[in-house]
Amino acid sequence: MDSGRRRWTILPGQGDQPRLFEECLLPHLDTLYGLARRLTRDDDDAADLLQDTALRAFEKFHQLRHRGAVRAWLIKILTSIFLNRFAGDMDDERRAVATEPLVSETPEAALLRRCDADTVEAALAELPAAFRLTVLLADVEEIPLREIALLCACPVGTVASRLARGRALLRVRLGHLRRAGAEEV
Amino acid sequence: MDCAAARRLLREVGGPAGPGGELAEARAHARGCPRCQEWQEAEVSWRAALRQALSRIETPLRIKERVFSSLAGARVGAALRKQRRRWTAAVLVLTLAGSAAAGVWFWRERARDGLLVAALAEDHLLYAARSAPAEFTSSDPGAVARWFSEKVDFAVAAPAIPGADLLGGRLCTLADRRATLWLYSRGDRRLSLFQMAAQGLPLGSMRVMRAERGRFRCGHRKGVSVLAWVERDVLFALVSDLPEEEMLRLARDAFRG
Repeated sequence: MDSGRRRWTILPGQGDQPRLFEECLLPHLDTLYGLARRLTRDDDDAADLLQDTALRAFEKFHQLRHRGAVRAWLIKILTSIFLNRFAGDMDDERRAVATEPLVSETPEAALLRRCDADTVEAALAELPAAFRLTVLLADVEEIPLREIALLCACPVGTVASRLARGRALLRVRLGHLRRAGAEEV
Repeated sequence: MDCAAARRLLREVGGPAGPGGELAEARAHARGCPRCQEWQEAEVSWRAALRQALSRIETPLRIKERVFSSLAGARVGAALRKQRRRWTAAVLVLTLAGSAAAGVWFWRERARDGLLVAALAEDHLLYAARSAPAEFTSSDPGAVARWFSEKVDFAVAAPAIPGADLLGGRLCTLADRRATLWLYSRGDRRLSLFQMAAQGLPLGSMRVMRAERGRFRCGHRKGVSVLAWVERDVLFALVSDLPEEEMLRLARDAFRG
């Protein structure tokens, strides 16, 4: 067996479970907090979401079979809690209208690269929750759309649409924010 | 596979860095299709640019402490819950085992009780049908009692049942012990009165009947009634097809009047 490709298998009852869990959680804490912060746009809500995610993950840790999958597993737990708690925020997607083409192209990436972090954060924060969640999960955390669809309990086509519209809106808002910034200067 | 299908698969299932399997064909298409390669590069470029633009948000120390403190609490809670579950399981197992043992005991006792009533009823039916049922024929209770007294290891009472004629007695074995059987005739009906040492005899399944001067137990088998009571550690069982109330009155008059 290729030891480099060998996956860690955590069997129930094997070893010190709490210590193993903390070892698994710690490297992903910032990722989880960042995602929580961007999803909730609030420090306290993000802290609550992170804490609840950690507790839920600890309870279900025995269900995790492969340590290699822990990041995606934690992100899914966080998303699931977010969706349950902030379901009302997800209804605002219909109010958002994307006026730009939905296909992602290299100029978009170029636009992103020209923007500073605060501008991108601000543009992302302005996205409706459903689009923000989809963009963060698909583009930042690289969760496949089918898994996002399972988490959100909606068809994969809806997720693909949210992603496309979320990207388009993000690009529009980035453009606006950059122009506004340039005018201020 | 066309471009749209390949892109849909790549996006929905695994993206450029996703697992193999069903993506193999889509990847093969993307490798050979300049437009799809361009699309994939755009995807990768967009994602990379977005990740780069979104700086890593570090978890504040107070939040880290809060998370790990709540985890420590959950750990203690989990340990307590585990311990409580163990205790609950142990109590449950013991309760179930106790219930099962009690059930088995109760069932066996009931079975034994049933056997006693059946044995009394069957002996009555066996001898009552005979024209000369007695081994020792006598209408004198004292004589019958004397005949029995040499053959059994308990004090034999000599009952005189009012309105019934004593036909005699015979010895029988019931519930692994010797019993006296007093045979009576009342009109065209027969009555049997059994006496035997009561120790260890199961009577639990028989219905309890409370009379003025004592407690009786009653059971039925094969159309006859068994009325039993214990006195000075001797079991008396009156068996006949008479109504229960009449048997109760006869028993009371014969022994306790």
